[in-house]
Amino acid sequence: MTLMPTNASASYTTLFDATFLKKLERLSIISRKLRAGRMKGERRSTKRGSSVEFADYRNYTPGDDLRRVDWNAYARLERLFIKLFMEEEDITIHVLLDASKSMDWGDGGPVFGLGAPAVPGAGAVPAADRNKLIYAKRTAAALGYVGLAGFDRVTIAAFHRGSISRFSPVRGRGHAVNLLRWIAGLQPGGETDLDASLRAYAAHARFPGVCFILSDFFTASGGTEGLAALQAAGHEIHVLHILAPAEVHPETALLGDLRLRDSETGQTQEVSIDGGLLDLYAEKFAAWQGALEGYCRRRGINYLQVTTDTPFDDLVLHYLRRRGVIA
Amino acid sequence: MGVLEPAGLLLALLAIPIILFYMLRLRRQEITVSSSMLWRQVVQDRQANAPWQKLRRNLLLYLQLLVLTLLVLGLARPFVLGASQTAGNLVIILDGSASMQATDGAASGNGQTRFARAQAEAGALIDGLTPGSRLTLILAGPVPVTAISGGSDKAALRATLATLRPTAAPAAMAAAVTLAAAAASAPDTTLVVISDGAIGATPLPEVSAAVRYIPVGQRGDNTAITALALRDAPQGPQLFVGLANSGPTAASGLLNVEVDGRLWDSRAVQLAPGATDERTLPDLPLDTQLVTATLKIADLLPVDNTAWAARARGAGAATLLVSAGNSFIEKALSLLPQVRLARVLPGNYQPGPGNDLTIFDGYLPATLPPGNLLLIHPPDSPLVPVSGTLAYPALGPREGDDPLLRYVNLDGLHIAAAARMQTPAWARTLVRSTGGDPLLLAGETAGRRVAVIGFDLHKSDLALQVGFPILLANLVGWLAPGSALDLPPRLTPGSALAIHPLPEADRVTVDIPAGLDTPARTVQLAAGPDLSFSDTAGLGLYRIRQTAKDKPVGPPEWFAVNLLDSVESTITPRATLDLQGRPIPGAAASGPREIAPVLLALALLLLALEWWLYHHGQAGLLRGLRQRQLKVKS
Repeated sequence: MTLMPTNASASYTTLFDATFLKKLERLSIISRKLRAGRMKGERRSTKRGSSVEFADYRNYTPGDDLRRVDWNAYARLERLFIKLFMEEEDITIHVLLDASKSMDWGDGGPVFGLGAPAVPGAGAVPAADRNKLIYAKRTAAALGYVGLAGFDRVTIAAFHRGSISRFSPVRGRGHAVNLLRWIAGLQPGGETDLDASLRAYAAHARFPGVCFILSDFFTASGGTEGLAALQAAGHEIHVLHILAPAEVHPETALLGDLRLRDSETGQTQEVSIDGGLLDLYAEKFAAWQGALEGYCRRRGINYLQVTTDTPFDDLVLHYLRRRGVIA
Repeated sequence: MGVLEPAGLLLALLAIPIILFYMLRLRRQEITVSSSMLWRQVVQDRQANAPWQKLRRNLLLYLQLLVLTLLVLGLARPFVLGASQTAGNLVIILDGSASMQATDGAASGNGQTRFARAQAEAGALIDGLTPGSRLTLILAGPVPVTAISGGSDKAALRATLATLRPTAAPAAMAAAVTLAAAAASAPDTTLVVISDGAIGATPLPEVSAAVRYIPVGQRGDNTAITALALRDAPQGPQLFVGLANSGPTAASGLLNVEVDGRLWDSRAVQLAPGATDERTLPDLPLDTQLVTATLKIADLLPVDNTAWAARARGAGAATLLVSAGNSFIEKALSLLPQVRLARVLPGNYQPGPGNDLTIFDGYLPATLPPGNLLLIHPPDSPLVPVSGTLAYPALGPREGDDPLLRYVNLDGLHIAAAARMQTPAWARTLVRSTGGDPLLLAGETAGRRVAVIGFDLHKSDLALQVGFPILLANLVGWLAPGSALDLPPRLTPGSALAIHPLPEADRVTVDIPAGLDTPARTVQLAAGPDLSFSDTAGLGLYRIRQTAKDKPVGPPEWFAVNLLDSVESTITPRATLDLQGRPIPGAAASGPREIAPVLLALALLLLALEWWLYHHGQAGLLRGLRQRQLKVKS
């Protein structure tokens, strides 16, 4: 089954097919914390409720439902105890998608004017799928679908053109088509201050839950303030740092005398890329990426760097499972 | 190592615009990237560390600068320092002797002559001249010639060098070195002698300069005719031929003798290494005029395989002795073969033509006859003023070495009385008294030769001296040469000879044989009493014809110019040359090995690489290098 086409990068692309959807239906998003949900769901809640799973005892107080009195305990101890059972509620899955212009890059198209990328294994991923935004949209769609399939509430937010577009929280598989269509229709654009966007989102999100941030984190402020704000709001955060291979290994695409135009700001930077400059870039990149990863590790944020030459199936079905994001 | 055209290095300044173009107008490809954030930080770091960031490693720029460097170096004509590299004042003596015509100049045996090889060596030296150096080139022929004096324009030097030709005569090397010494006044002078070493044993003068000897020639295989003489014997003309084999191997061949253009004799000759052979061929035809002897043996030096001889004119000089009686004179004259003597008493003498030489003994007519005169004890006359008598004059010291006194010893001469003569303007004094009065005069006046013996032979013991017949032979030989030619005993190329035309002749024509690279030609000379002819550079037979008003006067005369020089024919190259009083070892000059062709070829290769990189490969090449670098790191 072909789901919603996307017109990102002015082309319609298949997000994923029915076979993959079947595989997704067997997955669920793991929440490491018990959370109080809003509606009945399939996840253990911090609340006590009516599931079949025993949780605890407490003393009877007048007014309690007598049907919950543990009569066996009364027979042995002659005291009234009320049996408490686990409540199963839903959780909210927040998928925050960076849809700035910098994400709409890396598809091996016009930017790679100097020849095909030469990263080993890159051949497994079609060139068009190496666009970071498409990759992120597919990942967001997968996560959203997994959430819907698990009767969790899923909300999607896209940061672009300095604002936040939201797909209102929905629950149930019946919203999957709308969700995927919404994701596929997302247009990249503008410059995004990730920190400001994350802070704004943290301030307005009413139900903290599992929050996926899909971004390249190419923002001057680094994105850590936004992460802190989300964490403060009670979100369990997973950072999917999505990068194009040419951003990790620029020598695959960028060499010689070039004028680099920033896709977001339009600023140009003249560089003459040689071995020395590439070494310097590698140092800068490692420091920048290491800073973000270190911050996440210290704050208990699950950080996963993904390059778009990683086959998407592998990311969802293997890497995310291995990292305990989904199960 | 050096450069021949240092001005070419100025072109290196072209690197400035190339670098400026790279700095100012570097053509960059614009590429959109997701974010230039990291690149800005990288470039800021790089600029902080390297002010010349724009001149970072750029393969094309480096290639272009390398190509420019190679081109500039190529235009500057760099060379590897060879033995021929010379700075300062360079004086080259180029041996132009006959032996340099030997065809073993090149070791490959391609027939290059030694002289051509020597020219090539001199050319290499010219090429090796550093800027500001001066070159003097002396061609050592029979008469040294300064072909180039202090030149520095290499093109002109080479052009002049190419015009030089070897002579067919021995080289006057000592004179050439003397000439070189005059040119070696500068303190930084280097004298280079390019020769095969066949210059004889004459010690060479010292020169205040560093000396080098560049030998040419490879082998010594040569046979030669070293002597050829045609003489009259009682049985008729006979020919004497001397042969020599100066080479290290035995030689055999034919000796052909042509008489007046016809092959007269041909005989086999065999010569052992270093051997000489002398053959006398008697019974030549009585009317033999010209003889050409040719040695038909293949050797390295053909020029000495042929020799020529011309028979002297047979008719003697008509000589008239006007004397009251002088048996001494008569006896002495009768011994001279070229004299046809007639006698007359002074009283019977009538001046008239018909005599080549008239001898007046104690008498002088008022009217002098045509022809040459020998006066013995002359009375006072306008020709030879006499003012009295000298009693017992003693002989003064001998002056000079006049040919007329050659082999004449007058030390024991005693004179009882002599005429007190005044030396006329036309005459030179051969012998004078201690008081300075001339006793023997000779000279030329009014187109005739005149010799004067100032005393009566009967009043001296001259006639009893051993030198008397020799003196008389010398005087008669000079006064009645019997021929228009005054030939030295052996006429070598380049030497001069005197021509005495007949008085009635108004033009003398000399037919010159073909030379080494000059065709046979004819030279016409205006007749005069005493012509000197020195255009004898070529070997062979020369013919002289005299004409009066375009009509021949007298029979044509011939003379032969021959090499006949055993030193020149000994062509074995000498490894050392005695210069500055010590043997100078020969050192072959190899030309300055210019490396410009290599540099230019390399530049072309790099240019092709630069073109390929520009169109295809720079990014690919760098990417490959980068990946290799990453692999090494990992």
